[in-house]
Amino acid sequence: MKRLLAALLCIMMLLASCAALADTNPNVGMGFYPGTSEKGSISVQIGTMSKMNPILQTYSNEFSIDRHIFENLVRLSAEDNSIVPGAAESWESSEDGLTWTFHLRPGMKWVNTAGEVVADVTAKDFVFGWSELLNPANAAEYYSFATVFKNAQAYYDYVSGVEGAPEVTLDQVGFHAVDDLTLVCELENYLPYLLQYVKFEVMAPIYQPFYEEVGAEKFGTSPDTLLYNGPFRMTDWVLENSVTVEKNDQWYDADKVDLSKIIFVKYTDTNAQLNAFQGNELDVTEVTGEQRNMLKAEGYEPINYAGGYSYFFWVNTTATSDMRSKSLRKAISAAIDRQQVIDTVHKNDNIVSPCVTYGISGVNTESFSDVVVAANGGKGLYAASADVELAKSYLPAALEELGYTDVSQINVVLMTSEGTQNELLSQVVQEQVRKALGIELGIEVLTITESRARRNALEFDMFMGGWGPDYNDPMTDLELFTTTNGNNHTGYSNPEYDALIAKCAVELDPVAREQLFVQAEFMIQEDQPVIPVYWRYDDYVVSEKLVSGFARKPFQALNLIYTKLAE
Amino acid sequence: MARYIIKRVAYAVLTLFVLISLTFFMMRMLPGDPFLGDKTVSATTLANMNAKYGLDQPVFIQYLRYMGNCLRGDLGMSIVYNRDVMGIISDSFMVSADLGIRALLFATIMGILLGAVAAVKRGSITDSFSMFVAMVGVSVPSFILGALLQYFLGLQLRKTFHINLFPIQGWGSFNQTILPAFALGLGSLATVSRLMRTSMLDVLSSDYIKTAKSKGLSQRQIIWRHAVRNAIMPVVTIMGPTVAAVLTGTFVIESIFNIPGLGKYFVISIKDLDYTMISGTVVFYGGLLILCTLVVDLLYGFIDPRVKLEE
Repeated sequence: MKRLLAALLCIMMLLASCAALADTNPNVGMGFYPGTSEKGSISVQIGTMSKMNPILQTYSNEFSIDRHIFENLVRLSAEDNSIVPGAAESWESSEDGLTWTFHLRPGMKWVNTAGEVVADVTAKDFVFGWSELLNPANAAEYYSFATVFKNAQAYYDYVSGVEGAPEVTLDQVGFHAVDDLTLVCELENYLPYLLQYVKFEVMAPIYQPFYEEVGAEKFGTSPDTLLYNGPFRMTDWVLENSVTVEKNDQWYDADKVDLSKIIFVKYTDTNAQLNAFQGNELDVTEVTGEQRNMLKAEGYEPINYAGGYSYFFWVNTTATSDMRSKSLRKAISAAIDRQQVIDTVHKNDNIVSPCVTYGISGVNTESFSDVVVAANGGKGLYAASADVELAKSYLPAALEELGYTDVSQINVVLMTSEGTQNELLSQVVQEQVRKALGIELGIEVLTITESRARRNALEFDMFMGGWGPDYNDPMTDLELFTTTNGNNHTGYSNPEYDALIAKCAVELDPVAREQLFVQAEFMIQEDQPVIPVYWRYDDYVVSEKLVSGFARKPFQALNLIYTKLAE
Repeated sequence: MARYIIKRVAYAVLTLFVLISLTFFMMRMLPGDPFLGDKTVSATTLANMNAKYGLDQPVFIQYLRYMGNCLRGDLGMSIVYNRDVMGIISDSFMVSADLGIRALLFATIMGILLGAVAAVKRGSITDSFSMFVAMVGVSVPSFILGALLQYFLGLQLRKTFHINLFPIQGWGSFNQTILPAFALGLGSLATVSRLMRTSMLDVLSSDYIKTAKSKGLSQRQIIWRHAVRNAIMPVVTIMGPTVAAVLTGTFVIESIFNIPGLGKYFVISIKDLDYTMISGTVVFYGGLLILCTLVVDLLYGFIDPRVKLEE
């Protein structure tokens, strides 16, 4: 009886700990891969990164490091991606949603690479950081995050010297420090998800006197040309190789931080990554589908990680391409066996896209896609396997739309960037379409840069690409297909769709707004300006040194702040 | 002698000039631009970016400006890294040079020894062994060798026998240099030892060796004082290209063993269309190789007095 009780107690404790923490390592105590030997420190694999000046960054790996060394107004919880207080301990918005007031945490400090306190963090630092983001001399790619504020776009255009732009000065832009701890923001338009914007990594604060001392050109080019207000501070950076951060004792929640050091190491060779992990030189690493299966066979359990990346074929719907025929798009979409693509090319847990939008929370559900699937009678909008009959049924209409008499006249080329899995993917799709429809798709392999140039110029028929969300709202994915969106690489222009998205932008009721987005998903399915294929899942492994508290999620590819280590 | 050197240096400078110019215009002809990311930027932002890196000027003006800056030793600002190209190159080249010198020392010393021994003990097991090593070195590319060494000596030795001698990745300690230097140097070792063996066999059968033998010199004196010194000539000749091969061949080894060297920039910068970084690495490597060839040419005259530099 006692033993039973003890066992029950154990299970209950286990359940309780699972519920409370972000991710938990399923392999703790197995004795397979104990991890690196330095106490309190972990070594983590990352990919491409090149800049640490927050306003100039564009790579998600750079954002991942930012999350550990800078503190924006708000941050995302490692548990469930919800917004939690960061540098701002509270905030309120006016009734019309156009004015927001943020109250900063008192006593926050800027520290240098050595951990010495340099100054207090104040509301002015946010005003300065955001105005540098809007400074054309910096040519920040992600400046548009700051254009949600009143007059910000007009200011940017004016200072950039855009012809005919009326004069706007910086103090007319909608962010002001009322006092050291109060920041007031006025918005250009109603924006229910403003917090998702101020959370974005490029919206970091910058301490002006230090910035001017090191100079804009040198700022963020080494650990000693930055100041830190986050849980860690950068202590070493070997370009294209590694970034080391150490605990910042001045951070307001430092008591809860277990880690004393994180070394982010860039790998370019997946075999080397796994060798380093298995040889206990690396604690956290991504693994390929094949490596995952090998580790599983050994009895070691990798963890699934979804970054929110949705993959689809961009389709050129303009007159220059045969893909202008809607029926042809639908025929090809129905001819693709999506599950076979995943099983042949990726060999992992990627899943067939139920809809375009991925990784976004629903109003009352865990995921927005759940709402779309429910509206479609419990089925995804795109089938996992090919439906040859359905595909063929679209063909007569397609030929008519194109003015052809025979399928052999159809000329569609899959544009692919070299050195990626997409080369194989194109071949698989080519074969599937040949079998189902008798259409011979061409394949054209280009360098990544050239394929992007051709994509932007709409000089292609179909191009495998994807989209990762910038903020946690369906708008981040669905506004892509509006006529004027700069990232709409399809030429798709549907006034009804544009009107629908415009309605989403002003609808105040969250549930009604969500329903409008569901309608948009259905409209995309009907018109297929993109042919969705799969949602990406990655696998990663952690050494037994990490017990819990680490997170990999959409918008936070890595969040290790509250990682608990094995004793 | 002086005239010869001046002539060679003038040629070298001319070569470098042509190299820089060709690179500059060829990279501009590549499709796309450096700011083509996954997400597109607005026209205003693109104009701001072009202005920031001076790409808003006509190409010929940019060329003149670049040439001017090159003369002053300024290779510009990397578009991808937003820092000084010269700084990136000097930091990372120190690492590549360190690795390269280790690999070269290993390749030449071991190569000359193996080749000489093989020639002296021709037909013996030692000969077969050293020629087998040479064969492997020539035929197995360094990226396969690197991966195999990493897997067997780095990982399996540790997992199976708990011998923690060869770190799997990284750079800094002596142990971390062993596997990459070996993987990088083996190919050159093979070339050197085969060349050395052939040349040594030639020398050993020549008349002055017979003379030395008949004078009653010891075997050791004959080999070290007379044979090796003469047989080494062809090896010196290929040192220029070998240095080039080792220094530019570091890319794969650097990525397998995670070494922060220069090799990777050579490749990534082209993929990213980082104009300043592309021309920076080309100018640097080009200059280095031209210098190596020059030095070898001059060295040749010192080792073999029969080569008259005036000619």
